[in-house]
Amino acid sequence: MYHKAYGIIETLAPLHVGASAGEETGNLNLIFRDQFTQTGIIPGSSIRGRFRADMRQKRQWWLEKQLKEKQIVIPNSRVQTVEVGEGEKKKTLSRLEWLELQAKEQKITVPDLINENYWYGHSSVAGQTDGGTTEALVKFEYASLVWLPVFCPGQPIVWVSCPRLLKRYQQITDISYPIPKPVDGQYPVKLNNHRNRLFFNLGFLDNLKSTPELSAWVPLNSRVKPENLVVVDDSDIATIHDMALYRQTRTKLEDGAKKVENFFGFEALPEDSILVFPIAIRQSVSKVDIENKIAWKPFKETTTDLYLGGLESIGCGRTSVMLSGEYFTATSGSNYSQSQSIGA
Amino acid sequence: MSNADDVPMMFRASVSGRCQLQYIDGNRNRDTESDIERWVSEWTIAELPSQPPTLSQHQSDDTCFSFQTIPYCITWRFVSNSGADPTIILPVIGARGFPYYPGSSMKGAFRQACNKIFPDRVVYYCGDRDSISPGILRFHGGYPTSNTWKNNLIDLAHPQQGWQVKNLDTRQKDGGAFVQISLHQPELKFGISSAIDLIGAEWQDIWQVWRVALSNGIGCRVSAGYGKSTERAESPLYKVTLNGQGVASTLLDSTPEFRPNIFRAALRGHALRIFGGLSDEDTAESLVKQLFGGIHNGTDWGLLSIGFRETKPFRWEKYGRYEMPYYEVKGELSWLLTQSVEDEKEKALKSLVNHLMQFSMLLGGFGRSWRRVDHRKFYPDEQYEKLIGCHWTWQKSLFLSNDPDDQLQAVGQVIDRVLNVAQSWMQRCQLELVHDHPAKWREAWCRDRAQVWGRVADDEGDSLAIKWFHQGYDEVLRGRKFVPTKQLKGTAVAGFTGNQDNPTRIGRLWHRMYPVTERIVRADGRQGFRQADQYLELLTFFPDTKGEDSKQLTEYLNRPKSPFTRLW
Repeated sequence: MYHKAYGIIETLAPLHVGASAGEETGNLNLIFRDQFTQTGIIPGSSIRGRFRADMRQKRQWWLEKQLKEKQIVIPNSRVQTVEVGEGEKKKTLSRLEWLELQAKEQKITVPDLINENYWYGHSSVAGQTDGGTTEALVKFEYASLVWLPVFCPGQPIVWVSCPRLLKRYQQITDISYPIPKPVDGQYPVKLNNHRNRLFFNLGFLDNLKSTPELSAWVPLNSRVKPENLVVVDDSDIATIHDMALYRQTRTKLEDGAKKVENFFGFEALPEDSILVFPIAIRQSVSKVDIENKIAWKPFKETTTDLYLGGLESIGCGRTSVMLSGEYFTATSGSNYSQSQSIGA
Repeated sequence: MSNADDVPMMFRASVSGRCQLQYIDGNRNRDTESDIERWVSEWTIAELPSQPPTLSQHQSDDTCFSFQTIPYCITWRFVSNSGADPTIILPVIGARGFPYYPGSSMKGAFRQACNKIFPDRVVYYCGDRDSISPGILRFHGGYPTSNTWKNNLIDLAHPQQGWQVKNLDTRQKDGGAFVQISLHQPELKFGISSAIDLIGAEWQDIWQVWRVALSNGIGCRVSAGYGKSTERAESPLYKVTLNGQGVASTLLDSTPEFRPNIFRAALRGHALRIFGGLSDEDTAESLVKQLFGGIHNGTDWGLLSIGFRETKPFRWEKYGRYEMPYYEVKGELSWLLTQSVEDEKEKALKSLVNHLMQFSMLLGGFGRSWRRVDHRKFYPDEQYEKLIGCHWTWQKSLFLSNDPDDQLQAVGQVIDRVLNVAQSWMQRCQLELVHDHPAKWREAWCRDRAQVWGRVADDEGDSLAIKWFHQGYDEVLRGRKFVPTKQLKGTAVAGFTGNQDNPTRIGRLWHRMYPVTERIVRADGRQGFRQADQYLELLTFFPDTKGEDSKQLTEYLNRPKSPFTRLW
């Protein structure tokens, strides 16, 4: 039924997916957590939304390029809405809607390769059966943590995980090693410089067991490259996660004076966290671009920078996303880049 | 087995014996670390990578957005309070334990600057709250570009307004030192990205806005000179180049540091003295709060903020047997308006700042030991190896005449002009002058409390009062030698450094050697200034009506043959 693939997310800035300031002003805006391990997740809908928005932007650029070639005058980039029609028929269109209208008049058809409605399901359209929605050809599931960096004064940054998180990683990536787990209170670690104890805010881990095989659990080609790894009990990860989160108090100052009007805090997954999410691609979709069957190719390369979650304008959410798995690897990397590329 | 002592300070309870970051034991010896020092050393010895996260450039070929970074230097200190610990101001700690300037702060500062120079683009760049539409820019904050941020993190402030100006008995000193963690002269790399592709000219505009934000100051405590970049402010209220030298302030670990907030402290103190002489305590306090800001009885955002750009960097050397730090610095001091006010008010404020600066330069110095002249320069006793005092100069003249005697006689007029300007400012604020009930402060500036005495000194070796402080005054001929009969050293008039049993006292005398400056016409026809050999030796005296030492000195100064003339 489906091709299998997955994405590895490495955070390049704090990542906040959860309550927004508007909802809980005055409180700590929490991130969404997985109900079992109480660790941060990114819902599949957020990931799909980002992929959709990204491709929509590509489509918009493509439309602008096509219309320019046909000598259509396009408003400058600061213009985000355009008014059309006269009298009662007058209405305000978004820039994209205006471009679509122009394209229709010019009989320009958007190729499926960059049509987000084709890949991720058509958004609902007023007046059509079922709202005009279609089934997505590419489906996303939520992203869970694989490695979470913890800063603690006086010790190296350590990336922490637990058996349950590693199990999901194993299921998604099909790696064949046995899942490392603490046994008899001995914690599997791989540290650059061996040390006898690590502090987390639940206390000390004293019984460290050097386990070089942990490297196998770091995604290949990882940009972050965790250096110090430790696996703790499922029951301990929530507390350590709470210590590791990036937390910041934000203040809203009055517009006319430098006085605090409001306080609100937020938490976010810290920079250099590693997450994994599965992707299912309908079997009908080609792995390579052969004649009419086109391949799903959201980015030029298999790795790209993407913004996920909220608070994007204040530097949160910058991530590096790497696509991998059977769908991508079985065709070999070279085919990916050989397949036709349309876009800006 | 308890391993409570191995818990890092960052995770300890803020109680005595565990982790009290604000408490510094004045009597500790140099071998015992205070809690704040231990907190910092634990933070900075963590095995951090040599390079901080670099806000690395966008690496993929997809032109989904453009990403730019530019590093800028902060001239002095920088802090953006994380709010992580309510007892102390600490920087925001970002990835891998590096201090970090958050994108949210950056966006706020950018928006404010953008409102000034491109008001019509604020919504386009930063979004609109009412229509909940996002702007095109993302603000990624800033990271230090090297590990030198680890140096000189502990930042001590000693609020002394009460002690220096108000307290009648200076044996009582309230407040004490307050500590915070701030970065010392960091270079920060700031990142901005755009959700749409922008042309180069647009990027230049965006970074221009950011430079304006930097010249206004970023982070907290900007009014005291924190968070200012080396970018020059476009239109400061007042700007002057100053040369300073003297005994340097030191950090907790004895490292000397030049702290530009001394200028603000000096002007704030003088404003309080002058307004305190023209009105009652409450009025004076509220005027000063309006100018410089304050948080008592409601928060006030002060009108003034300072910036100091070193043009000849702070340099220091050990001096004398006590190896005290002697510094030299030259820089451009600017006073900036923090908010826009109507033109008339801005003009009045300009005049007020200008006159307060004249008052400060004429009668005292700035920073540590500001009430005394620089002993290394003016006390030609080769045996004397201790550092006291400071000496500040500028390329300006307060007087019309080039003649030192005329200048001396004009000192009173300079002071009167300062008072007139302060009065006009009060009238502008619609406050009443209360000449008969001045503030009950030691150094309130009014006729029956403050006196200024002066004489012309021929050269820098000719300071008379400096000898009074060391050897005594009122000399009489005993045998073949002139012997002083009265002492200043250790008295309440001169002040002294005390100990637990006999606490330190601030004296009642300011001593200043103000260089005589001549106006000259340069070869190119422009007006210039030249420093003459002479100095105006000025004594500012706040006599204690009940103190014997004050009475003696008053009597001596008033004698017909006194070397000093009453100028104010």
